[in-house]
Amino acid sequence: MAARRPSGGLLTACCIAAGLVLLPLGVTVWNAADAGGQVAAALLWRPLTGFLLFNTLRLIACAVISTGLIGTGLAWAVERTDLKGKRGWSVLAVVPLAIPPFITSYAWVSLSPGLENFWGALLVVTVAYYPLVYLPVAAALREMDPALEETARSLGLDRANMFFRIILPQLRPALLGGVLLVALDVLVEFGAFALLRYRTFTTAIYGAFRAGFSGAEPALLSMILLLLCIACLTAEFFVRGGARYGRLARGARRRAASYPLGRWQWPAQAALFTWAALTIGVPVGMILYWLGQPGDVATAPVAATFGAVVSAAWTSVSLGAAGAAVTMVLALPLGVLAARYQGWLVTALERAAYLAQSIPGIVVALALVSLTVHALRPLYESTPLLVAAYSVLFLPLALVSVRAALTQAQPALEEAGKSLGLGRMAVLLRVSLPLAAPGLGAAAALVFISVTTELTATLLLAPIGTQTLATQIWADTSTLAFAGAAPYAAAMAAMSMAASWLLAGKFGAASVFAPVRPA
Amino acid sequence: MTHGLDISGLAKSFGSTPVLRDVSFAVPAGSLTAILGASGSGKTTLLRLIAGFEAPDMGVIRLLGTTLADGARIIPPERRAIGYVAQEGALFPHLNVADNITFGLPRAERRTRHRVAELLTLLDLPLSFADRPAQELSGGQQQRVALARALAPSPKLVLLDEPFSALDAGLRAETRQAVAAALRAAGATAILVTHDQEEAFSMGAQVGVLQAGGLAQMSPPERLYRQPASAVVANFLGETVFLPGIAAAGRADCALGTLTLVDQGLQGAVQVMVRPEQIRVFREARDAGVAARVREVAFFGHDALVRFALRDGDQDRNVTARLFSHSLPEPGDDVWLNVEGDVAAFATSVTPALRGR
Repeated sequence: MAARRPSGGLLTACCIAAGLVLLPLGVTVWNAADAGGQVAAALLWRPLTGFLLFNTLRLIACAVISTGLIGTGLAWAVERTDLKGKRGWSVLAVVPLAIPPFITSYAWVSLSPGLENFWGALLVVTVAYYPLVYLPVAAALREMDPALEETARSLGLDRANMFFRIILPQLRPALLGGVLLVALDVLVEFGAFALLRYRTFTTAIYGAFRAGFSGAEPALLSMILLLLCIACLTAEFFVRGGARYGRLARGARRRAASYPLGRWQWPAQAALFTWAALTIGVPVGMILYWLGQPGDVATAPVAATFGAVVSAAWTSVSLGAAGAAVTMVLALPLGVLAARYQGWLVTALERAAYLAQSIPGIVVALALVSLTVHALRPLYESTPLLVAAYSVLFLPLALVSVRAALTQAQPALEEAGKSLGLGRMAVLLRVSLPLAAPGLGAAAALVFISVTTELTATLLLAPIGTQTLATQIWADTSTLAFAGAAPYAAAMAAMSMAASWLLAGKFGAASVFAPVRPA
Repeated sequence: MTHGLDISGLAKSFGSTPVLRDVSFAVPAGSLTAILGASGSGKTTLLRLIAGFEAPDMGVIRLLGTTLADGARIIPPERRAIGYVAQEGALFPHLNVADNITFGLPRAERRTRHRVAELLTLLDLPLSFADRPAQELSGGQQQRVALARALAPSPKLVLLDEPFSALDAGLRAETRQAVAAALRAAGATAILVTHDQEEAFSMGAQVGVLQAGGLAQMSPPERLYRQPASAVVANFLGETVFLPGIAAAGRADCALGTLTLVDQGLQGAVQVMVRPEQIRVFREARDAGVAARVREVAFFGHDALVRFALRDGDQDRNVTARLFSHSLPEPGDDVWLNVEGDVAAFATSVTPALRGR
C-alpha cells in the first residue's frame, strides 16, 4: 500500500480542502500582523486582555474539574456498579450532547437572570459538556481488563487503594483527553456565553467586530484565542497518541468487574435523577414553559408565527444539507488519502484538516468577512460563503467518520473481490461502497446536525434577511423575548435530538461521539 | 507431610450450571500441584475460588491452618496472601517492570525497589529490564515478571492460571523451565492449572485431573499416567489401546498376549489398557509376538503412530503403536508385536462405553 503513490487529481483535491481550512487561519494571522508591532502592543497590553484571559482560564480550570469529577463519577456508576436501570441512565447521560449549548444557556438565563455571572457560565458549561468526559471514561472503564484488578487484590490492595493505584492511572488518557476537549469547547463557545453575558475571548471578539473597530483588534484577540486553542488541541493529540494503554492481554475478554453499591444504591439514584433534571429537565422544561406563555409577555422583534418558524426551520435544514454536501465533497478525498496512503505529505494534509478543529467559529467567520470585504466583495454576506464557513468548521468532524468508514473497506477485501473476477467498477459497487456507505452516511448526518445548530458563523455571515432557527433564538433572547424564542428553540432541540437519536440508533452511540475521538 | 492448602467438599454453580462439585484435595507445602482439565472443566473457577475472587457455594478452603472460605463466608482476596498469575500476565500497563514487581509491597519498600534485582535474577531476566515499560516486553518475559510480582510479597501460595497458553511452542518450554526453577528456588507452594498435559506432567509434583467439575484423580505424574483411575482419565492423558481380556493372578490374557498388570488384584473380565509406546514391532516372527499387518502410518517427525490389524483371531481389532521414525514399516508389511512393561486394566463393568473398541 505504502508503495503506491496517490494520483495527482487526488492530491489536488486534498490540497484544495486543506487550503480552504487554512485560509481563515492565514487571513487572521495576516490581519494581526498588519496591525504592526506598536499598535498590537498597545491593543494587547491592556487590562481588558488580562481580564479576558482570567475570565476564560478560570472558567476552563473550574469546568475541567467539574466535568472531570461528574463525568468520571457518572461513568463509574453506570459501568462498574450494580446501579439499577443502568441502560436508561447510560442513554440519559449522553442526551445533553444533542442539545446545543446556547439552547441550554437560553433555558438557564430565562430561568433566572441571576445566572449572568461566572457561576452561571460554569453551570451551563458543566451541564453541556460533561458527556465529553463521560463517554471516553465510560468506554475505558468498560474495556479495562478485569485481571488487572484481580491481580491487584491478590497483591493486597483494598478497594480505595485499587481506585487510585490501578483504575485512575488507566483512565488517565481518556480522562485527560476528555477534559482537554471540554477546555477546547469552552474556548470556542460563543452563543452560550453571549446569552449569559459572560465575557470570554469569543464574545469580546464579536463585540469588537460589531463595534466596528478596525480589523486589528478582533484579529489580535483572535490570535490569542487561536494560540490557546492550538495548545489544547496539541495537548490532546499527545495525550491520545502517547499514553494509550493497549490491553497487554489478547485472550477472551471477560466483563469488567462490577462493585455492589449496597446502601448507596438509592442516594446514587437520587443523584442521577437530580443530574438528569439539571441537564435535560431544565432545557426541555424551560422551552415547554415559554411555549405556553403568550408572546406579548416579551418584546419580540418579530412575532413568532407558525409560518415564521417553519420558514426558519426550512432555511436551517437547507443550509444543513448544503453544508453537509460540500463538507463531504471536501472530506472524501482527504479520507481516501488518509486511509489508503502514507507519507509525510499525507500526514501533513490530514493534520491541516484536523487543525480546523481548533479554529473557533468566530475566528473563521471574522476572517471570511474580512477576506470578502477586502478582496472578494461579491461573496460578502452570500450563501456560498456561509456554506464554505460550515465546511471549514465541520471538515474535521466529517473526516473522522469518513476515514473510519473507508478503513472498513480494506484493500484485502477489494483484492478478494478482484480475485473472484470483479472489475474495478464492480468492486466499488459491490465491495467498497456497501462497506463504507453507513460510515459516510453517519458523517454527512453529523455535519448536517452541526450546521443546523451552528450559531456563530451563521450570525456573522448569513445574507441579510436570511433567518435560521439559530439566528431567531439569538435575536429574541438578546432582547429577553424568551417566549418569542421558545418555538424556534423547541424546533431546533427537537430536530437535533431526533437526528442524534436516529444516528445513534443506526450507528451506535459512538457515531454521535465522533468529534471526541479523531483517528 | 505438612499440608499447605487443604480443600474439602468444594462446590460452585453459576446460575443453574454446576461448575465444580465436591472437589477435595491437599497441596503439600513447598510443592507444585498441577490441575489438568479441558476447557470448561472448571479449572479456572477452582483457581478463582482459591484466590478469593469468587465465593464457593459449599466447601472449605484452608491455607496453613487458616480458614479462607467456609461456604459463602470468605476472606477477601486482598487479605489472603495468595499470589496470582493471570492467564496473560496482566502486568499493569501504566507501570514499568520494577514498579510492577514491587506493586504489592509497602510504600517504603516500593521506593527502595526491594527485591527487584533478586527476583529478576530468580526469573532469569536481565537487571536492565527494571526500568522498561511493561508493554515493551515479549509474552514470555511478561509472564516471568508477573510471577516475580506475585512472589515479591512472599505469598503463602502462588496460583498460576494457564500461564503459558498464550506463548508459542519454543517460548513456552523456555518460560516453563524458568518459572519452575524460580518456584523451586523460592520454595513456593503453588497450583498451576492447565489444559496442556506435558506442562502438567513436567511441572507438577502431583497432578489432578478435573473432569466436568469433579476431581477424577490426583496422583504423582508417573502413577497418573501408568495407573489411571478410569478409562476416561486414561484416554484424557494420551493415546490408548483398549483390549478386552481376562485377568487372573496379576496377569491378563488379551489379543496382545499375556500381560503383567500394574494392579495385581484384578480378577475376571477387564479392559486392558496399553500405551502405544509400550508396543514393540519386529520384522521376524518371535516367540511371544503377535502377528499383525500394517494399515497406515501417521508421521510426526521424531516419532510416528502406526496402526495395525491383528492377523490371527480378531481380524477387525486395531492396535496403534508409537514408533521412532528412523525405521518405519510400510502399509501392508507383515510384522510381529510385543508389549513391554506392565499395563493397566479396568474391570469391564466399569467401562461399558469402551467395550466396542
